[in-house]
Amino acid sequence: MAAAQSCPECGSSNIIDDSHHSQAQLVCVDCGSVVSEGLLTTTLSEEQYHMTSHSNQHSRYSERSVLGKQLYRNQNRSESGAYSERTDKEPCRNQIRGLQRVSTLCHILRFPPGVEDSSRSLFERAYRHPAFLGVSLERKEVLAGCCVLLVGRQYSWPVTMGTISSLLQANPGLMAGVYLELVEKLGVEAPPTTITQLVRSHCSSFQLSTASVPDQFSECLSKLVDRASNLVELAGEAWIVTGRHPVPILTAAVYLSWLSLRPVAPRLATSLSRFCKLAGVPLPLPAHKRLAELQDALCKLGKELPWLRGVKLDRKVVAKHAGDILKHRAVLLRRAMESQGGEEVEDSEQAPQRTLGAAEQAACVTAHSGASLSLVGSVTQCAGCEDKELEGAAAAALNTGGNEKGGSAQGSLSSPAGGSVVQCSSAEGSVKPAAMVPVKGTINSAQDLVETEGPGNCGTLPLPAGGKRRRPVFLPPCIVNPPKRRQRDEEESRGREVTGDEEISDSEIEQYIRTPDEMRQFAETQSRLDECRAEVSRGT
Amino acid sequence: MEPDNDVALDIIITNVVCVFKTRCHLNLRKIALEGSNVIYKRDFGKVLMKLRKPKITASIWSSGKIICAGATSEEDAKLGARRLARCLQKLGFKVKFTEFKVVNVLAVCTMPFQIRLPEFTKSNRPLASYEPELHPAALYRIKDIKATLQVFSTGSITVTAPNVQFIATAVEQTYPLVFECRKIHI
Repeated sequence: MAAAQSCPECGSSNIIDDSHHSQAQLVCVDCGSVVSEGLLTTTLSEEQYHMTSHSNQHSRYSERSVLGKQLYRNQNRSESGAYSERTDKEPCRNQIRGLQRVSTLCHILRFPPGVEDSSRSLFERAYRHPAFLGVSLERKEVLAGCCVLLVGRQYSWPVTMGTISSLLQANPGLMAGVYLELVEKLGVEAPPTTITQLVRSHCSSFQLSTASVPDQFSECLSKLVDRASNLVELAGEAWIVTGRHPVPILTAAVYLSWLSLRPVAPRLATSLSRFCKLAGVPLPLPAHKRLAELQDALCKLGKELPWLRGVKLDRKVVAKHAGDILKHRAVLLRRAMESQGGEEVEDSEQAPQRTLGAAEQAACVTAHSGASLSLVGSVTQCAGCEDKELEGAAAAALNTGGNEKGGSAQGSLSSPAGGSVVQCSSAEGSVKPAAMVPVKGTINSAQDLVETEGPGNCGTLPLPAGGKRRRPVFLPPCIVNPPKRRQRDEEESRGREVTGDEEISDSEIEQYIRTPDEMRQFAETQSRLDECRAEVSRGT
Repeated sequence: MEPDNDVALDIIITNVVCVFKTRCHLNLRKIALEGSNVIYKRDFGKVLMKLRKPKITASIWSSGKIICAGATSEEDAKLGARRLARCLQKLGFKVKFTEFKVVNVLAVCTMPFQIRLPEFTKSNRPLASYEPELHPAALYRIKDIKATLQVFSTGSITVTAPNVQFIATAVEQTYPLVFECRKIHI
């Protein structure tokens, strides 16, 4: 057992472990005073608590012992669970430990002193809040990390929840719950960390200086950060970032940047996993998928580069041209939209149909189920409605799937698989899906109708006269690869008029009841199974 | 040039959860023996019964409380619940169809535009909450109608509310908010 540092009475450090009957005590040899008694544990950290300057040196240690607590048990507790209502009472052991934990985390994350002080004060406030008073120790430990995270976000310090939960070795789910509760109960606002803020800190964790890796592999940090930031911005536009964990995207972006900054043979021959080993960084599992997506996005844009026309761009060679692609990405994006998007369509529709509202109306299906859930909202026209917005809206209208097909001309459309379509009100202009793109909507049954149309039909999207219809080059993965829905039978898809109070015939119910023979067989099989299980358990 | 201010949106109901009571004790072992399409969860003290038309799954407790889930409209849910009660009646229990109530409706609505979630969250604090590390959607709660909306950046919105009317109200209230934060493609 480790000895306490010094006796509070005489200052001597000659303290021994003694026991009075069955009670363990720490006794000073020089003056005979009992330093501590009745503690259930006698670890160094427990003793040091009593010797720290935070503790009241004049209080009797027995008050803090098990016996002392038993004496206080009969006293009335306040609503918050505390024995005393004093607001200036000294912090308890767990609070002190929590504050130390906050300080340690701040030092590890290299927070400036002002940020550390804010974290400590937030932790003190949260700790005394009724919502966190009676919680488990584990939650209190995680609370320290959550306070650090919250304050870091307020000061735009790039720190992720994953980092802090791995530093604390805490359950990420628990951390998420405590963080959300902290934000709600204390009413503190903190903007979430964007991926662009994380680029620099992530890049700096890669050890690519000349001291740690050979010359051909080493790279300057600032160049890496610039290139990776551009790649991450492109990833943001290409729907690679949305809804995904940031770290694998950052790893893939850094790897691609490293390849493209000096696309020499040794680098190009290095795989992502080898690169991570070289740089001393763990490789997250989804990074390979994110890398493939980034490379595909670069290939899509790279096709528009004039000096690459006719060159077959694939994932392996695109890294060489990444620099040029990123430099001119705005122009390339526009060109890609023109060439890889829809074909030109001349507008013959009337002016009102040009509005955003009209484009949105396109995404509607005529009611077939009789349930009328009419939803009408007002749409304010954006001033100076430009091509861009219309493209976006038109494209988005396409994205909602084959809804357009069931225009007013058609009558009732087969209901989408997966649920009853509650409503649509008739649109002024019916919109047919785009010609070139096989629109993969999220509505399966309508999808068949869309795909059968094929590339032959010309879309009649509302557009400015002589304007080009453009669709975004990059679409969200859920629209490009929609989840497969089970095909419902035709009767269901057509929709039934159901009131809920129909007559129920016996024949409908009989299918759910076993015949006497089946019951007998089932009972026999069950008893045999039980016997076998009993034998097995007896055997083991 | 005046725009047409009416907008119509698809709201697709994907799940309706309802409860009802039979006001009699139910012998779960007997239901498991005599009913087909039945799973007996002994550890949880309930029986799962699945009906084909409408496609619903019911959790049956011995106290007589039954929860039905999987219907795609409130009427379907009621019909399915009644069919289930009738089935239990055929099995020999003195079942009464009482205290039927739709407790939860889940619907999906797709906006014809993408949404910028950080902007949406910023302009709708504290009702909106967005934690990209935890969930890709922004959570928006409407207290008076007890509706919860998950707003995805793709424009898809998942709405959960106690009944279908509240779902429509929730989407109506949220539409202008998400419209302000729509993503404009260059």
